[in-house]
Parts: sequence; structure tokens; C-alpha cells
Amino acid sequence: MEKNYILFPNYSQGLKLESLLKANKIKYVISPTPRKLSSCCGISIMYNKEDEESIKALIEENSIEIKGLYKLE
Amino acid sequence: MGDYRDMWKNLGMDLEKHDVLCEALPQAFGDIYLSQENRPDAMNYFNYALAEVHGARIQEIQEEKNNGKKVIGTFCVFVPDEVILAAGAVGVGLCSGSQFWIADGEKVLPRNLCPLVKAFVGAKVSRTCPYFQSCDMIVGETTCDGKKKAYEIMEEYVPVHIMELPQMKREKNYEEWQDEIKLFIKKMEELTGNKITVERLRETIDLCNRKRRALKRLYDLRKNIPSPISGLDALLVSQIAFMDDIERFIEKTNELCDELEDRVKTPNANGMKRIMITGTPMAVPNWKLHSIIEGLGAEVVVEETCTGTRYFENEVSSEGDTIDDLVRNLADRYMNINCACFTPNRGRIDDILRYAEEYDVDGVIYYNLSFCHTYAIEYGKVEKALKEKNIPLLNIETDYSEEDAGQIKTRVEAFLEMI
Amino acid sequence: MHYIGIDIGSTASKVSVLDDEELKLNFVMPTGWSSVETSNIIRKRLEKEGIDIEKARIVATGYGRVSVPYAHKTVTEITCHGKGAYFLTGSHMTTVIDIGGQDTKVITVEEGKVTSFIMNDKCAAGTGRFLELMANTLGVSLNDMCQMALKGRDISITSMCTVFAESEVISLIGRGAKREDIARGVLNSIIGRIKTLLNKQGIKGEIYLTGGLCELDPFIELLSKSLNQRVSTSSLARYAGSIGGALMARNIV
Repeated sequence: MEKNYILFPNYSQGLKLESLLKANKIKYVISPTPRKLSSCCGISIMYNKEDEESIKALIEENSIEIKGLYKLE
Repeated sequence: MGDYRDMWKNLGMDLEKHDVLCEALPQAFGDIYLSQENRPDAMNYFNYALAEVHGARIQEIQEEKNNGKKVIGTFCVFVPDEVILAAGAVGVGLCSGSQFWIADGEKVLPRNLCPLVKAFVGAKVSRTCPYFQSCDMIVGETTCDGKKKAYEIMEEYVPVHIMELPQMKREKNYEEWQDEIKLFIKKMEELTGNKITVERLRETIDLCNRKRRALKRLYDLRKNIPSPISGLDALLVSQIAFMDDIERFIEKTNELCDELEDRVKTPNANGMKRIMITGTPMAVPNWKLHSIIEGLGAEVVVEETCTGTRYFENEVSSEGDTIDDLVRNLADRYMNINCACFTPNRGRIDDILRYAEEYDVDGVIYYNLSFCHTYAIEYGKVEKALKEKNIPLLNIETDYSEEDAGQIKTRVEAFLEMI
Repeated sequence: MHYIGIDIGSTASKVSVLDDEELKLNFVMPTGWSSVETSNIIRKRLEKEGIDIEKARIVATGYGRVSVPYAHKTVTEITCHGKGAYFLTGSHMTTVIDIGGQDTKVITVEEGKVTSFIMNDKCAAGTGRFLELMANTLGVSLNDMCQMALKGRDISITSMCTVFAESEVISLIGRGAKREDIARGVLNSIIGRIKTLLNKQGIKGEIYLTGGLCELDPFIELLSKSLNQRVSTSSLARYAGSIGGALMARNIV
């Protein structure tokens, strides 16, 4: 199954986005960053594909720093 | 995520080796935890705490250290956190739950020893645990022979203070434990330069009681049929309790309980068998038995272990006007923990029988870490008491390795077919 | 309708077929290195016997139970041996000893239901594999080793561990000990392990031996003598697991 991740330069940016997702009632799961995506440990956020556009908008509007959106098969 | 390599390097860690440890976690956590269905949303915090266990939390601890705070590592639920906090220090429970550390532990210890002891020595020797590397002092205790002697090895690496835990529960033993707590207070005052005042100690007693209450609240919710939270998730919360910032932990655990309280309003009977685990502790990332049991479609509803009820049951009274009064209260609460290191230890049997009823369990699984003699011997008494009440019991003796997972699975599966 | 129990053990795979009345068929084959391969061979064999797999109800058991893709259900060998032993003995209270290739179990069965069980530690000592290894070391068949043991003197092999026991046996050979005595020592060693399990579990009712050793009469004789109680078994007892599986298959809707 395809999984979608958002990676961050540091955890505080991740937590910032988390509170926005919560406030906007968008489903997400905090996950340890998969090693396939990065060798740095720490959190990333897993989300559902159908929410991608609204999440992108939230990131843009609130100038959240991210390392990018990734997909794992 | 973040890049913590500089921080780890400054802590004197073996980066290459530590990376091997980090590598395994996301996959294991994903397979065991994130694959569960219908998890409470509030578990996201605990996912965060686990994912950042060697990252953000260590960063926070380093910041506290930079502000002049001391970091104290502990290994046992008998060491009073209240004293550590009252001295303005940070307490961390050193976890030692990974097979990763066993090989390094076996370099300096005999092989036929409890995996927990081998792992905590291995973690220090291999310089791969940032909590260990952050500690200004570790506090040992004389609960078992393996730990007692292992602290002599630890002394070569880090300052150690040992508390002599009495092994009986007579009046004089309570007094002995009070004396030990007083010595510990003195030691903490020397180390930190902070005086432990009555006010300060009373505050931290209240704080630790609030933490106990939050965990008790979580466990009480598991008494519902079905439990609103998996045993795996509840175990993770307990495990995080040993390392997290206390105030934040209390807040997040209560948030989780709020969500669970909503859940139990509309119970969905699932017909799952309800299992109690009793025995030895399960430190992060030891999720082995829970994942086997819950993978077979049963639910773990209570753990009578040091990473379960023994950690939070009974509060410390904050009544009294002097340090002596408060120390007596502390000793009274801590000496009431029913660990198999005591003789006799009838209180534990009473606890198990009481939980069996309160949590309405279908069966009990006795979890014994290999070579833990006190718990292994006490099995006989527990077996007898449960047999009298017709409560099915299964004995599992194991370590952290995965080699026996198949055999354990067969035993648990047969047990579930039987009950 | 056919009800099939397939017991994929670590050494041997056993298959039993029931219809609505009686036991129709039993066969055994070596498990080999691949349980999946074995389950394919079993399928072909069943088809050759004229059994319509598509219409049958199938329960897989044993350590390779997950490798039978055409099974409707998996049940542990512990439950199956309990059911199978009840079917074979009809006794309302039985203590079953199942000596398998990779582990040994003692199972208490009351009115056809498993009420408690105990297994040996994660180690080959006290298992069928141990006996096979020792027979190999002595250069005889399992059956011959047991025959020899009857004529031997009581000696003990002290090592708990299969690996150490093997070197002990080799050094006994080196010292010129009689093969009969060594064989007796080997059997004493496994019987000692079984006794420990039985003492822990407690003996209720008759003792019934299942698993691959059930046709080794000298072994049963020595075991009975050592336990001071007759150990009963039958030639079908090695199929207890697969028979139990077939019985469980009757419950599949």
C-alpha cells in the first residue's frame, strides 16, 4: 500500500504542522522517519493522499519549513 | 526529523554503532504499532515521543544541563523520583529493552544473566544510549544480585550511588529505607548544590502523584469491555513515562484518557480474550510479548509489572511538616511495591488476584525474563493461587531475541484456544 | 464430506482424513526442508486417493501450519493432540506426552478439552531430534538403539544440552563403554527430561504417548518402568495431531 510522508528539517516544524492539521481536522499519523527516506532519525508525518492539496495549502499559508513530500510504495 | 549527529558526538557516542540501532526502529515501530487499526488519535504524541526518543527529548535534556541542571539515571521503580526532582535535577529511567545491547553487555558479563542487566551494561559500554551519556550520576539499588554486581562495572564509567533496598517488610526495614532515602537526599544536595526543602519535596510529591494518577486513569479505562486502547499502546505510554518531561507527560496522558472516555461511551463488543501479564519489566523497545498476544487477536488489559501497575499504584502522602515526615511517607509508599526481591511477597499474589477480578481477565500470562530467579521461583506461588481461583495461567520465559518468537506464538495461541 | 487434518511437524508431516462416520485414511511423510513444498505433495497425494480437496474441510496444525495455503483454518498442535488423544483413548482424563522432533509437550486433557499444557525449553534436548542424533552417533537406527538400550546397564548421560551430550557419548565410545549401556544412557536422559515435565505438570488419569516414538516398544517399556505407571499408546498415536485437526475440521461451517 502506498504511504505518504512529510519530512521536516527539525521536529518543531513538524509539531507546528501537526497542530494545524489537528485544528483543521485532517487525519494524520506521526511516524518515525522511514530509513528509506532519510538516515536522520526523528519524526515525520504520514497523511492520506486525498488531503494532499489542503495540506500543501496549510504549509504554504503558515510558512512551515519542510524537507518535502514523499511517497513510499 | 532533525540532524542530531553533532549533539550525539558531543555526548561521546559511538555514532556508527548508534546508527545501526536507529536503523531498526522505524521499521519495527511501523510494523508493530502503526499497523494497528483504530488507534486513538492522541497516541500521536506517544509516536512523537518514541520517534524523538534519542532526538528532541535528548536535546531538551541537554538544554536543562546547560541551565545547570544535573541528570540522574535510574533503573528501578524503587528509586524515589520525588527526591531527584526536589533537588532540581532531571530523572530518566534507563530503558535497556533492546537485543541490540546484549552482545556488548556479554563482553563484560556472564551470558547466563538477565537480558535487562546485560542490555543496560551493554548500552553504557558501547556508548550508544544518549540518556546514559547524559547522566551525571546513576542511582542503583539492591533489588537483584545481577544488578547489584553490575553496578560495580558501571562505576568504571559513570558516578554511581547505590540505595540499599531491604528485602523484607518488617517495621525495621521501613526505617532502614527511610535512612536510605535520607542518604539519597544528602547525596542529591551535594551533587546539585540545592537544598531539598520541605516545600520543594512536598511539591514534587504532588507532581509525582499527579503522574501516577494519570497512569491509573489510563489503566482504569482498560477495565472497560472491550478496552478502548490496545495493550501495545498502553505499554508504550508506560514506557515513555520513564523518560518524558513529567508535566507534559501528565497533560498528554490525560488528553489520551479524555479521548478514551469518549470511546467507552459507545462500546463495540469485540469478543477478544482479555489477558493480564504479570512478572518482569518490559523496557523500550521490548514489545515482543504484547505484539505476539495481540497479533493473535487477544487484548492485553493490564500488566502487573514494573512497567505497569507497580509503577503507579499507591500515592505518597504529602501530610507532615518536616522532611522526616515526608521521608516516612515516601518510604511507606515505596516499600509497598510488591517486587519478588522481597521475602515473603504475599502482597503480589493479592494484587494479581485483585486485578484478575477488576480487569475481568480470561487468563494470565506470567512473563519471566530469562535468569530472573526471584520471579521464576515465585511462579509456583502465583500458579497455586490462580489454580484455586480457576484462572488459567501460562508461563513464558524469554529474553529479547526473536529466535523463540515462533515457539512463544504457538504456546500463546494454544493458551488462547484453551481458555 | 471429507474432513482433513494436516500436521506439518519439524521432522514428519502427518495427514488424517475423516468422513462423517469414521477415520478413512492416515499417511506420513518427511517434512523435508520446505513446508510449502510438503503441503503441495500432500495435496497431490490426497487427490490421488480420490479426495476432493475443493469440497473438503481442512485444518492445518504443527509448526508448519501456516504453510498450507489450502487449509481453511490453523489450530495449534497442542489443541489438536489433545483432541486426537481423546478420540483414540476415549478416556475422560488423560495426560498426553507428545514427543515431537523439535519439542516435547505434556498436555492434560479432561473430557476431550485441553485444560493445561507445558513444553520443554527452546532446546533440542529431550526431543525426538535428540534421539535421532544419538542413534546416528552410535551408528544404528532409532529402533535398534532402543532395542540395545533394553540390554544395557543403567548409566547416565549428565549433559542437559544435546551438543554436550553428543560429545559425552563420543567420549564414552572412546573409553570403550558398551553400546548397549550408552544407548540406555541416552534413553535415560530423554526419559529424565520427560519426568521433569510430568512432575511439573502433575499426572492426571492415564498417560498416553503420541508422536513419532509411539511404535518404539522398548522405549515405551523403559518409560513405563521409570514412571512406575503404564504408558499406553497405539500405532495411530503418531497421527494424534492430524486426527485432532480433522476432528476440528468438522466444526468448520
